[in-house]
Parts: sequence; C-alpha cells; structure tokens
Amino acid sequence: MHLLAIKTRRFTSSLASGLLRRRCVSLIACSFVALNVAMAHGQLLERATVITNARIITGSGKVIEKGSIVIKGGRIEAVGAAAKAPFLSKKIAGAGKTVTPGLIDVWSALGRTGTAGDGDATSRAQDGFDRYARDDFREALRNGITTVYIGADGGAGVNGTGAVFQLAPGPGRSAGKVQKKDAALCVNFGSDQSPLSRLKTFAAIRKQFQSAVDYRTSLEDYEEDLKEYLEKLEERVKKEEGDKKDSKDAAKDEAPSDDEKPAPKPADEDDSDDDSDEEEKDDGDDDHHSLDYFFAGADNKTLPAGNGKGDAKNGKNGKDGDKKKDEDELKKPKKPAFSAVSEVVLKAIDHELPVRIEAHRSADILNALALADEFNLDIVIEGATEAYLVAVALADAEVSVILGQVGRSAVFEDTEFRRHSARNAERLTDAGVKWMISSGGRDPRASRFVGFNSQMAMPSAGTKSGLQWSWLTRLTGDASRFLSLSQQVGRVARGMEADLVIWSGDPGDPASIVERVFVGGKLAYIAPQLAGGGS
Amino acid sequence: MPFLHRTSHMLLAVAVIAGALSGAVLAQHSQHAPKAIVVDRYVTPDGTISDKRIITLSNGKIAALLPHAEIADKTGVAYYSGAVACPGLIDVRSSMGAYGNTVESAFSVDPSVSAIDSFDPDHRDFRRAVESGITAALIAPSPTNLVAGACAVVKTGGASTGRAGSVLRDDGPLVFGFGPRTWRYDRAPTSRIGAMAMLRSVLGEAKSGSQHARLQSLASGKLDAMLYCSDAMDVGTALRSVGKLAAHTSIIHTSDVYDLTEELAGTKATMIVGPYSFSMSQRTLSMAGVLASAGIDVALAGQMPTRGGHSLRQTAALAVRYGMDSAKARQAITINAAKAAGVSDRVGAIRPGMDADLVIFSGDPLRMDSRVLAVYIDGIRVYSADQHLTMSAGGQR
Repeated sequence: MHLLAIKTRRFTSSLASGLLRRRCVSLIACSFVALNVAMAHGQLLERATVITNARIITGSGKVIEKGSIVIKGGRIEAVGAAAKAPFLSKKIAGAGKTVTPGLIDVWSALGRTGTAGDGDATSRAQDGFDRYARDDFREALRNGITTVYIGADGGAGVNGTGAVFQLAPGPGRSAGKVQKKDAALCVNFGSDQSPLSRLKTFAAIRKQFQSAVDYRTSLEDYEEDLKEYLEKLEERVKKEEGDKKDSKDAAKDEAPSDDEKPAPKPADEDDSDDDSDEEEKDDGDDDHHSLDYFFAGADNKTLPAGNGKGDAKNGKNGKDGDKKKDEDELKKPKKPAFSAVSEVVLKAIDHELPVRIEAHRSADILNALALADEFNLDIVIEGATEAYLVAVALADAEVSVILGQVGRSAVFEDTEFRRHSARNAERLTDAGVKWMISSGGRDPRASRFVGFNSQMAMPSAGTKSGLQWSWLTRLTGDASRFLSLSQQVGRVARGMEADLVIWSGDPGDPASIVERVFVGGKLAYIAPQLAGGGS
Repeated sequence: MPFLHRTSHMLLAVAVIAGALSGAVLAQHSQHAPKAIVVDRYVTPDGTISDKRIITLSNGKIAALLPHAEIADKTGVAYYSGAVACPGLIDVRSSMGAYGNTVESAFSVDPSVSAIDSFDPDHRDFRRAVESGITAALIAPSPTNLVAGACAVVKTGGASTGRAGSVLRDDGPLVFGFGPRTWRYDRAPTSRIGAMAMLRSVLGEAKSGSQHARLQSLASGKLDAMLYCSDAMDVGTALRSVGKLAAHTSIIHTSDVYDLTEELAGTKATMIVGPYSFSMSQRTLSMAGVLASAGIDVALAGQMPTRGGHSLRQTAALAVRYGMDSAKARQAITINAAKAAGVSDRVGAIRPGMDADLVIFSGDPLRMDSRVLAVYIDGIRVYSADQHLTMSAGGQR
C-alpha cells in the first residue's frame, strides 16, 4: 500500500517525489515501532507462571528437593532452588508436590486413525493423526503423558513415515499438534505370519531398498548422460554454425563425412555384448514408459529429427544407415520416472531418517540387522519380543530396541509374542543393548500407562538406591534424546518447552494423581478435584 | 539385599520336635525355613503399611509379630532390609494348573462337578505364580451352567506335599452362572427368564432336601456361593435368589455395575472386579474404586494364566490410579480375596495363627517397580529372586 502510494504520488507530482518518499519511509518506520511496542506490551501482559517449592525430577536423572520453576512464553525461564518468581506472576504452590517433565511414549498409537496401506512408503503418520481426540488425550494427560511418537502403521512392508505429536491445547478445539514430522521410516516385518509369508515379506522389503538404490543410480547415470549430451549438443551446434560458415567457402558434399566423426557411441556398439543387460534395463523402465514418453516427446520437439517413441528399439535394432545412427547419438537421455516411494526410502539410506523395524521373532531381528548392514541404515527394532535371544548380535551391531508391553501372558500365545519374557529388558541390559520402553504402538489406550510399563520393565527394583527414577528418566530425558528432541522437551531445564506434570506425590506410586499438566506452557489438564477451586 | 542366616542345629531340632505334619519337610529344607523374618514394614490386615518388623514363624504358621528390638538370637532369621512383607497374593479368578473345559455341557444344573478334578499339582503355572507373589488361587468350573459346580482353592506351593500346587480347599464356593453363555439353544434353560424359573425350582428342591448335598448345604447357609453375572441386571436377581441363602456370596464379572452400587452396599457380598488391562476404559477402571468407596468389599482378580503373573498387581495399581484407596486395594488382593474363596481363616493376612504364606516385596506391592524378593509358603521359602531358587514350588519350566 505504501509502495502504491509512493508510485501514484510520484507519478502525479514528480517534483515532490523525494520529499514524499522520505515521508512514506517514516510512516512505515512508525508503524513498525507501533507493532513492536504492541508485541512488547503483550509480553508484559502475559504473566509468568511459577511453580514454587516443589520437588523437581529433572528428567536427566537429577532431583532438586525443593525448587521453583518459572514458565514464560511457553518455555521454562528458570528452574532451581534459586529461581525467583517474577513480579506479578501466577503462583502454584508446589510444596509436597513432585514436578516432572511430561512423559514421552516413543512408540504409541494414541490418536491414530486407520492404518497405512500395506507397504506404501509415502504414507505419513501425521495425515492419520486425530488432533481432536480430546477425550483420549485427556486420559493420557491425566497419567502424565504429553508427547507421543506414532508410526505409519500398516501390514508387512515399508509403511511410511512416523511423526511425533505433542498433546498441546489449541488452536480451536484441537488438543494435539505435530511436533516433528518425518521422524522415522516405518518398516514392519510382519512377524505374525507364516514362515513363508515372512520370507516373502523380507524379500519384498529388501527389494524396496534395492529399488531405491537402483533409482538413485539411474538418476546419477541420467545426470551424467545429460551432461554429456548437452556438451555434445553444444559441440554440434557450434559445428553446424561453423559448417554454415564453411559452406560459404566449401562444397556441400563434405558434410556427411563430418557427421561420421562424432565418435563415442555407447549404446549401439556395445549392443552385441550386453544384450541381456540391456533387456533387463528395458524391462525395468517399462513401468514408467508412459512418463518417459511424455518427457522424451517434449524434449524431442527441440531436437531436429527426434523420434520419442520406440527410441530404444530403434537404437538396438535399426541400423538404417549413417544418418539414422547420427540421430540416435544426439537423442536426449531419458530421465528416469520420478519414484515417490524411492525418494522416501532414499532419505533413510542417506541417514536423514532413522528406520524403525517392527520385528519380534529372533529370526526377523537378525534379518533386520542384515538389512541394516546391507544398506547401511540407522535402525531401531520395535517390539523386539525375542531380542533377549539375539542380544549379543544386537549389541555387536549397536542397534537399540524399543520394547512394548512388559506384562503379557505367553501361555496361550502362538503369535509373535509366544516367547515373551518379562525379563527381556534385564537380559538386554546385561548384554549391553540399549533399550527404550513404550506402550507398544498398537493399543491407543495403552499409551496412558507407559509409566507403569516402564516401572515393570526396569531390571532392578525401584527402591534400589540411585535407580529410583530410572523408569522416569527413560520416559523423559532419554526418550527426548532418542527422538532427537532433547532441546525441546523431556527435561525440566531453562529454555526447554514447558511440558510439565505436577503430581500430588511420588509419580511411581499409583495413588499419586496428576494435578496439573502444562504443555508448551499452557495448562492442558487440571484434575477435577482442583478444577473448581481455581489456582 | 536380603540374606539368610542358616538355621542352627538346635533350632532344627526344635523344629523337628515341634513340627507335626510338616516337620519332616522343615528338617529336609531347614535353611529355607527361618524362625523369623525381619522386614522394614509389613502389610497389615487392614491394608495399610505398618512398620512392625519381625514376623516369627512356627510350624508353617505365623507365631507372633514383634518390635525390632526383641530379637536376641540372630540365627535362623531372614533379614530383608528395606523390604515390605505382604500376605501371599490370592488370585480369585484363575485356571492355574487346570486346563481344558472344566464343565460338562449336558446338564445346566450340575452341582456335583468339582474343579479339583482338573487340577494338576505339578503344572508350571504354579512356578510362574510364585515368582509373581501369588501363593493361592481359586479355580472355578466354567460358569456356563446355571449350577456349575464347586470351586477349588489351591496353594501355588506346598510344604506338606512337596509338589508345586497343594490343595487348600476342595469344596470351595458353589458356582452359579448367569448370562448368555448359560442360556443356550440345545438344552434348558434357553432364556434369562427360563434360567431364573429353573433356579427357583432347584433352590426349592434343595430347601426341601431333595437335591444334591452341595445345594442343600448352600440352601441351609453352610456353603458359599460365587455368582458369575455378565450383565449388571443379573446381579440383583442373583443376589435375591442365591445370595440370601448362601453363607457368603461373591459376585464376579462386575466391571460395570454403577447403577447397583447402593443396592450392593446393603449386602455382605464381595464384589470380584478385574482383571484390569491397559486397554480398558476410564469407566471400567473406576469401578473398583466406586464400589470400595461405597463400603462394599472388593476383591481384585488377575486371571492368571490367561493373563500374566503381573496381572493381579497391575489390576490393583490401575484400580488405585483410578480412585481406589490404597489400603483397600491391598486388601482386595489378599484378605478380601481369601474371604471370597472361603479361606480367610487360613490365608490372606499377616496375623498370628495364619499360614505363613508371605511375599517379601522390595517396596509397596501396589507399585509396579516393586519386585518380589522372596516367597514363603507354609513358612518355607519357595522362591528367592537372588538365587532364582525354588523348592517345593517346582514343576518343569
């Protein structure tokens, strides 16, 4: 608008243009100042919230017996015994209470609607997340859970990308938001299958990774070919220009002999030797032929005598004479068809995405390790029911696991859980395998009780000195680091997002209730017992 | 770290002389049969955790509870520092060691069925139960008949037999089944109304002495009843018909009886709730607390081995998280369960005269991070977490 004003005025009165411009600039400056003042004022108006004199379990293993936490602007501004409540802040009496970071379920199904199709790597967990599932979220908050990772669930295969969600209130009536999208590539080995189908599943998954590698190779080849082609094209154009110049002086029949000169002919000359190879390539490309045709056709318009359709065949079979050959050499290389699936899988191969492989049986876990080895993947095993049987292999490969529900009866099981052991975590610890604990990624309601599950998983009794809070650290500081969110959540520390849970007592005692939960500094839950009394 | 002092030879001799039936076993495994157990705290009969420390044992029974200072001779004393002693847990809805169909489907009134007949005392379930702190279980015939038969109450380890499971009571509560599984198309009753009519006539016969002995003793108030009600609406009917006759009544399958809370508060019936899983709704998980708050005796069930050994304590923890008083929850997995099974004179509380069936937990049994450190049945240590050691609670794994 200002610019428009400048333009029109300048147009009407070119004489006063300099003056006006100055005036407009000052106007803009004024409006900026006003805006800044408004923002600053808003910040002043936003009262800090202070939880005073509470026991604080920081999430990184430390306990502050009596300290305060200052929450401002959605973040933790100060924490500790020395933290002082700012002037005009909202105070919550924390004496006798315990404050912890919000718990994190690193493998959840909370808020997940439906499942991804079997083996569709392009599915994204955030597309299926119901951020309005307030009743379910409330139940989770009531048990102290504020962050969940949700995978792209499907059948056996590469199922898409998982994401991390924060149970944050608003905007509108929503109660959850994406905290980190594309958090991992989700692969399921379909352990609850017959041995034959599991074999096929593994072969299919391996193929997907191989195709992605091949896809990249063909893209790289294309780039190389394209470069060469462009160079040659340029060369030829120059030559033709030169020819035109020459033609003024020289005779016309010299031209054909010139055409014979361009030497390197990769396709035609190798034909007889590598027939089989060529054919395989052609087979692979057949799927994308329509796209190829589209691109090739479009490109051929710029070429003098291009013939998009059936180029390959012509290249192979048609030796129709020198002129034809020449056209083939200057054919633009075919760009490999875009593969959305391979693009996603390549992110995993490039270490941009960790790969989460759900595998329960020992054989599947070993297959997962082999897959990781072959394609150099950063993998984590989800489920890992029989991990204790292959703990040494996991330790050697430095692959960590995410355990699901610890309490389970294997007596009547003939599924992937048939060798379930409540001592899995204990044996993995002994073998030096790193493990995380979760709700198991299947049951949306189980996410609430990931705290109990963690308590059950711990190899040692909670009363052992020094280990009292390890079940909680796993679900907070360890979990956020595991999800690469350690600078945002999982700890009660300055600068972190204010995801805090105020417990009436010891969080490990089922009789303790969650009184308040803050997510991103906002009050996301207040116990019904307290809701009436204000705060 | 718990450690055990070896029983002195003198004490051994005393044990042998004093022991009548279990004396031989005590002698055989003397080092596992302490004369006293010292713990930091213990679960009292009212469900609270008190700091009385010494539990003296004699003849497989609890002899006395003493303050800490009163122990002079430290031989034959098991010390568990920081630990909590709890009465052996009791699962009142179990099929431990009893596999297959425990009911005949031909007759809908079959009081002669005894669950004890399908009991395998050497089953590995008992070993798992012991590791989880469960020392007794009630095994019921499948409640698919109107009158389904008599329950058995078993211990998961036995000093007297040396086998995994031992029988505490073979004539436990008589089971009555109310629900769609009872009324069927291929035999009477075929409907809810038909079932009630049939039950009235059966109970009438029992009162007049023309029915099976078990039904007669129930009708004369000498036998307990366990009523399986899959719908809340059947609970009232069951209580008015069977409940008013039986010596003690417990009602099972009651995850959703909100509307009956007032009605139940006036009866002495025990409500058996659970097992609770992580998948259950807030409403279901709140039921135990609602019933207990209304003054109704609640027993919690773990349903081992269909569910794991963790299930009983998990049920209690979930009930507490959803509003049940902690003391009542501890009672619900010990003394109230014993009452429902009709064995509260023998087990379910740490009190002089009771069987020395004890679980030594690292902390409050309601906490899911508490671990079972040791288990005693009839005063004999049958499990120790340190040594993964078992005695009579054996069975192949």
